[in-house]
Amino acid sequence: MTLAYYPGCSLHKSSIEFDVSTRNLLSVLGVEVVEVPDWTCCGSSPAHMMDHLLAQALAARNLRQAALVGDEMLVPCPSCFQREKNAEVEIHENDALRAEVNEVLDSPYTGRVKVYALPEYLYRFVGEEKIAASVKVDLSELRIVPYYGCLLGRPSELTGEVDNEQPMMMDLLLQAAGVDVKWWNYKTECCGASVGMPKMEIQRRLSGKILQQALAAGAEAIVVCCPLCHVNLDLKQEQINRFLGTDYHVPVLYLPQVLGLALGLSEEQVMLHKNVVDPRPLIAKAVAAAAARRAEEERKAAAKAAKAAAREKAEETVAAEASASGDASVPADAVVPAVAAGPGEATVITEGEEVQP
Amino acid sequence: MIRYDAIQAAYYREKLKKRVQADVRECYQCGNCSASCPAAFSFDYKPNQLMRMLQVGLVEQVLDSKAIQLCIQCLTCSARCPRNIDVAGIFEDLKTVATAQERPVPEHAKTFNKAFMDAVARFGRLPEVYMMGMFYLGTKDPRLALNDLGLTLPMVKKGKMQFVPRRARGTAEVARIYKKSMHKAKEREKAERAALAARAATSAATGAAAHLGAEGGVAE
Repeated sequence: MTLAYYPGCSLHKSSIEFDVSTRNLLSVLGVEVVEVPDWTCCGSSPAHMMDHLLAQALAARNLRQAALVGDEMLVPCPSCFQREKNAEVEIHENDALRAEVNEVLDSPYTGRVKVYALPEYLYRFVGEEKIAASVKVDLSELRIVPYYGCLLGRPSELTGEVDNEQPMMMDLLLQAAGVDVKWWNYKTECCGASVGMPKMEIQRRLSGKILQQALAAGAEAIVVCCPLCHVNLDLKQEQINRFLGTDYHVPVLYLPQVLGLALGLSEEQVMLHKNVVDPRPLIAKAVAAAAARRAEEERKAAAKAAKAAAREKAEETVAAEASASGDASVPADAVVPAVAAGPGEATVITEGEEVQP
Repeated sequence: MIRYDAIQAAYYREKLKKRVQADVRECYQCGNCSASCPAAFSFDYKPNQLMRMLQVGLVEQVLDSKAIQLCIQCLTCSARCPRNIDVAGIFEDLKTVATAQERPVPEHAKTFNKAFMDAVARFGRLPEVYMMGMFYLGTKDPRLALNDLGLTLPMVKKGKMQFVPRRARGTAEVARIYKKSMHKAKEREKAERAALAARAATSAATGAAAHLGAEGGVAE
């Protein structure tokens, strides 16, 4: 069965890095997708503010187009996801609404296409184990906070999360990829969404608070999975700085960009050059720090191994002397506890000796 | 003096119960929605005040409020309501009512929605630059455009702006969906308002006793 892929208008141009990194990540993970043929705008976000039928019909048109490909549709943009999922749930449950929607469509939607958001799809159908097993680049020195925003957490019945207030899928996916995920309380606070256009003050205040809280949590970057959150936090960061008198310089990355990097995709393949606050120095620093730490760990491990080898050799000599001088009638297993107890004592002594001078 | 309108209250309560599966009467004014609302600082009425206004029938004021237009639809109020009322759903539905009644909506929300949907109806997919341009023209407020002018430079530099919109296949159908749906919405609204007026007329004629009767009838 083929997975239909609905990019949506934002991913088509202004958030091209989200689209490209998602497609490349899926191909690394062996998930095949086919773009929904002749998809059109899902109507988010004005349609559902203007008329319910308009919103459901615009979304249903895409479900009908997706049904030509398969009966599952992946929608990375959370705004589109909410509209499509909402239409899926309502239309599949309510035959009267389906009839009403089909009246305004050119040809009727008769299918039952299931809609998935990106974190949910990765979490449920790819899984943490597979991601953990595919990690190629050590990003354990990349300190991030996952930011879900409104539409990936709420309402949890639609997004597949367990809890409205504490969504976990991005946390778990990033942890599986080996990223240093920080805990914070602003996962589901709103960034201001499209009210940024008619009423700028709301967006600047809300987004500013998110940037501040991310830094307070010890993160150096924010990971999002929404083009609108990305615009508000990344593109408009300069505006926020001017409005609030701050000096934030926080890279904002898409979830598939970070997962892709961990799974060995190049910076070009996840289009890091498209982010406005350049994340490349931070990524380079994190990768270098992880490599340095690994080298240090290897050096320590090698030193420890050398020490252990030396000790073992010394013990062997002692044991050999003991067995040579000891009574032949002593059973072999009597010697074993003495040897087994040996290393513990030996460690204490060597450490003591090291500290003394 | 504030005039409460029991008929109006009952009418919208019934309507919201049907359309959003939410009953405004269940609200007991705990204020969780207002405490959680990230945009409440910019509202003329807080969400719990709007709920109270709906309970007593001050629907006109709610429909004309800045608050329902500035609601971001972040759904925090709905998620945190201890009575499980879909507060955001109610505001969304009232926004559609305000649209269908062609009310003059505050805060450029109508301009934004119209610029957006007109652009989608014309090109099938959202041509972002074109839509922004139409929005700024629609607001007739050059400050808004000037404020965002700074954003164009990084967008152009990153190659994220599509200046010449292209028409997607399926555009004609999208335009038809838009036209048909909005037409239906207006017709529906007209019919409903006529019914409401008729109901108010009968109750005025038969006096206060029938007034209560109308309320009881709605509750069924």
